[in-house]
Amino acid sequence: MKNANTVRSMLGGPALILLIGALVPLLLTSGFHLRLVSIICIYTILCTGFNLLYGYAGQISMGQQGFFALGAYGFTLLMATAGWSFSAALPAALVICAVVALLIGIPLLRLRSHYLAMATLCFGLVFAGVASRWIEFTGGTAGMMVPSLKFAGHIVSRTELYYALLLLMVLVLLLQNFIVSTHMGRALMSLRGDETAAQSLGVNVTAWKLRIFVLSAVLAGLAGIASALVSRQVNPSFSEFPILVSILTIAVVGGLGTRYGALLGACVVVIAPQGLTAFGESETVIYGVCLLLFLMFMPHGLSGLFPTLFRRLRRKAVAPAIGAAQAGEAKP
Amino acid sequence: MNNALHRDPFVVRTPSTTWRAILLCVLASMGSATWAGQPLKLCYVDDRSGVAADTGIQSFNGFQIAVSEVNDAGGINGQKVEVVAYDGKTDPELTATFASRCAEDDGALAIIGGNPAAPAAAMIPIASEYEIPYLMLSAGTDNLTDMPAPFHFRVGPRNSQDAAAIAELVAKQGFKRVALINNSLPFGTDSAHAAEAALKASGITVVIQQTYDINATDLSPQIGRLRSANPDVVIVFPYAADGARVLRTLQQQGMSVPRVVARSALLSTLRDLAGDASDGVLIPNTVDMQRADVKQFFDSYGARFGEAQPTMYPVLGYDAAKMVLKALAEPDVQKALAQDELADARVAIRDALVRNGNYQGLQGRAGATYQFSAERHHGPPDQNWFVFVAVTDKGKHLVAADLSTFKPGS
Repeated sequence: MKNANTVRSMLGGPALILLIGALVPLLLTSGFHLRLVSIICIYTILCTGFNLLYGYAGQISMGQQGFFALGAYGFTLLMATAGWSFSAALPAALVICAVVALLIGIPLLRLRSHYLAMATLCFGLVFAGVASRWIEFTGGTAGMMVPSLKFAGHIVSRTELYYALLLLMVLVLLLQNFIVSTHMGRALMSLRGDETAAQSLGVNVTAWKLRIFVLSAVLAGLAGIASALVSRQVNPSFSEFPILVSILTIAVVGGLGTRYGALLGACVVVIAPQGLTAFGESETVIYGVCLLLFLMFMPHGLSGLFPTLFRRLRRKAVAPAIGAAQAGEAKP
Repeated sequence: MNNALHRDPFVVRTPSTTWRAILLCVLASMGSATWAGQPLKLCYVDDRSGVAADTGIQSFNGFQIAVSEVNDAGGINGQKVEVVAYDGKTDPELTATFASRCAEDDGALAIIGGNPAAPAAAMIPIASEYEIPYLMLSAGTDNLTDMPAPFHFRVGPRNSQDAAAIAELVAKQGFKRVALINNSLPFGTDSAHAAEAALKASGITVVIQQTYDINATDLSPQIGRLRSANPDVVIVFPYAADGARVLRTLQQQGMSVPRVVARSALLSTLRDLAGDASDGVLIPNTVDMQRADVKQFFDSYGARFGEAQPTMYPVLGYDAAKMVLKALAEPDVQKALAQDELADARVAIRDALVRNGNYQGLQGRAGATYQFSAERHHGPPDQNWFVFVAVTDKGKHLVAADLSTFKPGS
């Protein structure tokens, strides 16, 4: 029974998201809207990695945008410059992300809290600097154009690309649910609670920190590749602060350490600026105030809001029934 | 400064579309625009609240003046021009998304904008994908127009053109010992390399070149080394805030040699922060206030938006809009619009921009023209384009430079 519940909680959400996501293009006639939902998928993949790393394992990385750009640049350079095929460039770029994460993770993950945040932030800054200044290799500020994807002479359309991104996003959410539903999730959460206590209980702290850091880097790289394909371009801004700000905003709005916070946060962060254009020059102020309100009144983000609402509704529904039952019992 | 956005009847956004986007529902009603009798839509996408807001706002104001002129004269063949404006906030992803919104949902005929380089670059693939003309403004990274992008045009000068103009001035004024100092960002390093090459080609010695981090608060070591090299002129390639620090440190260390600062000193931020340390500095500009039409433009600008110093930014928006508006009046474009063929109209606008490639706008010296062609999508020519202005009144004003006093030892 418990296993059935676990499987249902693992698969139910992603299946529903896949179903809704599959219907979305049928409601859209504009490529612009399709671009928005594609970006939501990308940010969800990116922030799911961050959620696993920080939300579940408590290891803060401010360098996710570096891996996001590394994946995008690696993929583009392999495809456009080295002439590799998509099927070779994609896994190779992800392997590059994993190897770099492993190399910098071994020394960096000995650090904790803000020291780790600062050290990983440096990685992002270094990558942005290299991408901007190694003009012959990276194209400098102008970046590089990403060729359209072709399979057997067929150019992948925006809608097909969206479906691929949707599938990827759902697989990433499934992977996250699998991790947090098993002993791996408990090991990660024990790191977040107290590393010493976790170690005393037999959790290999160093190994788990490294594993989750590499996984989050690979997911960031995957999101970067997807972003390069959607934007048809890669440039140093992939590794700059707007991406990091988006990650942190999604974490605040969606909720950390929750299964679907990344998706909910990504929806808000991508769609809200489009809606707020109606407010003209006040849009930035309104956006900032909304974020402040989120922090003050919804510290667990949108993910925290839904269970609270659900519990309240349930309490309201149950209360009259209990009252009626008690009244019935009181009758002679 | 930008209240006109709400005041002018032609500046309209589409809140209903916006809220549909928020809810992600009822999205299927956005059909292609029917142009007969409808306003002609132009999109302006730029940073108007981020770090480069000064440039974006000024260019947008110039853009609005051009559109107002046409609308006040009855429009184009009776059709009014409508402006759809978005603030990209220096965020490349957001800027690109707004550009795609212009191309798809708004049915715009062209996109204008792009002062900071990264967001400007992010719109290039959108222009190529949707085949919509995109006129980029002051983004100066040299290789932005190197990539094959048939619908992308650059209205402002390249960084290397600024650097070459400065080198030419320094050589012409008889300076022999040049010191270069630049920030470590691509703008600073690229411009310094370009200036060094141009100076060497003119037989001028670069006695020292210093690079500093943009966030460095103390520039005494670099300025000290500059002073030790005993240059007869200092050329600075900074951004706004760090440029002010360079000028103040030069003043504090008693270096009173002539100074030339790149186009970033056109921004009031740099001059406000530097105060009297910026007085006497020369800046390359593309606006010649000796021209009557330029003076008239800045009078109109001042009357509508308040006083503005004669910099390239308002003029870039104005010139870009004028070129597109001229293209809109072309028979090919009108024919495509009459047939409700948005894609054909965009192609016809692109072709008209190329055909009218030698357009004479407000940038450049008298008689200079843009040089767009089928192969060349970078407008400003290498010659007869730059005019130097000098900073006066504790950084408050820019005036035509008196080159007779800009000599070694002055």
